[in-house]
Amino acid sequence: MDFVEALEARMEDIASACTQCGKCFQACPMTVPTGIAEADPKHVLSGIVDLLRGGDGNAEAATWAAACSSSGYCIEACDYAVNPRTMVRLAHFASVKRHDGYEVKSNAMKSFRGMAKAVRVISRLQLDAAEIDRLQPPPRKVAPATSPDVSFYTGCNAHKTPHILILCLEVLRAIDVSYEVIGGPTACCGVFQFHSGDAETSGRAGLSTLEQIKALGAREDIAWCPSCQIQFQDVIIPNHKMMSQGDEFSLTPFFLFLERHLDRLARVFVHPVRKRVALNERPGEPDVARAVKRILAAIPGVEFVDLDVQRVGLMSNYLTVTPRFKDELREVEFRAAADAGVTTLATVYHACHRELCHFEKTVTFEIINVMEIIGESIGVSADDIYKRLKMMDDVESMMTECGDLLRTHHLDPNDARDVLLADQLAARPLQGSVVEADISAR
Amino acid sequence: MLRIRFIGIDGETAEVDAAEGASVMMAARDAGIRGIEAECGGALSCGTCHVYVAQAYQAMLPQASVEEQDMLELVAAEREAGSRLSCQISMTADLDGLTVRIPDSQT
Repeated sequence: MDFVEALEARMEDIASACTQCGKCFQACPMTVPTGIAEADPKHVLSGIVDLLRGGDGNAEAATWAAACSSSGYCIEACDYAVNPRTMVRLAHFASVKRHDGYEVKSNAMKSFRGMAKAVRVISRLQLDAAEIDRLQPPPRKVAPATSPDVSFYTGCNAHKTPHILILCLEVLRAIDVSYEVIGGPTACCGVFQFHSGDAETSGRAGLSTLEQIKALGAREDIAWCPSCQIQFQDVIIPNHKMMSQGDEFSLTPFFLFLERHLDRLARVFVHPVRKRVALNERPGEPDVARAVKRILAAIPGVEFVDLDVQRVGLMSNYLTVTPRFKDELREVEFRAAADAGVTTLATVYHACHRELCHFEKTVTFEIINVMEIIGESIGVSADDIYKRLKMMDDVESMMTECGDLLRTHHLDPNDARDVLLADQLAARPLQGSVVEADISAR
Repeated sequence: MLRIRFIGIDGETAEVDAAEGASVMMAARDAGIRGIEAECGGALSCGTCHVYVAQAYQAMLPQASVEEQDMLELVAAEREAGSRLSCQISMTADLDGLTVRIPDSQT
């Protein structure tokens, strides 16, 4: 059985398991901004199932699948143990594949290359060669001599905000966990190719990364990026299991690993952090949000404030398909944080940090990543160069700031300028085109 | 050690050592050869390690797999008779002295 056959078999299994009751649709926060909230849930689900089986589905199903923000509320809503988030993601994959036909391979390659180039340039505009090699080591030719406690799988885009990853490694070091880093575009989970409808290349990338992680021989494999986490959980790992007749593999989200070692962490939380902190919480991985709150509660001096606002998306960039909705959610959250008198709004994930950090100059509180708070209590810090650059709001100032590293890494200035313009001063939907309804229809 | 000769975009030649079994792409990366971007690290996902294999060596290489051929259809520079992805060329004793030219663009 190859990857494509395994994926098709799983799509058929999921299509057969779905009763099309429509509860998942009713639980979804994306139906209102996309203008499909009034659609008959059973009709939408019949379309989703049809897409999974290679059919055209229907317009509402295609819109819903394209707008999925991976918030995960649907998972709890399902009475039949179908994972509707996985189902809708697979339906979107099937819809794109059917619509784009022979173009999927070309689109997948362009999507991956675009991401890889952006990661290569943005990370090198912030770090010297030694630090790049530490955080994005080239694929290993031989296994490490001694098995590390963990492999730390970073994903790709997290390297645009490398201070977060540097702090992750510092925290692992502080609690005496040995690690091997694997990450950057050479260890892709395949999500970009998957979103482009190219199962074959997505599988090749994801399975290659799975083998790279396994080859490190770590006692546990932990992952930073939630996109990689669910791409592995939803697609790569189940397919790998089917293809290998049962070979087990799993990835632990980084914060769940830290939570499990909270006793060790608490011992190194020696510096009080006098901050009143609200969390830029995301619902996609509820266990992660819970773990982060437990970790923050263990830090002396931190006063945690729970904001009563709507939470949507696996990460902020999953809402780029509905830009007005994203802006509204952000404004409501900022207002709630200001009203609550917080000193700090802490992002959990890298993509949220990228999209929110520069708003710091427009609000009454700082916007930092939660790893910065954890690091401060341990006594380690890493400069958030990404935020410093982004707050410049002007590409020529960014180019001047990064001039030395631009030359050191032999980066083409025109390429770098284009990447900065696209990445720092604009945002692209991860899933595809904007699918937001006209505002008058809402 | 085996030798690989890279002819760069500007016509300059660089000679690189490679162990038997190493891919031409990895040898290029280890030696810092410019123009071999290899964004995916050999997972056959990006087509950014495209090279033109010198005619004398073309017949010595195993045929490109279907997956490699698919990727070669999408490379940025013009595809020629000697076009290969360097991540798919494993060095053997027969290939000692392999000469490849780097295309003017990978993306």
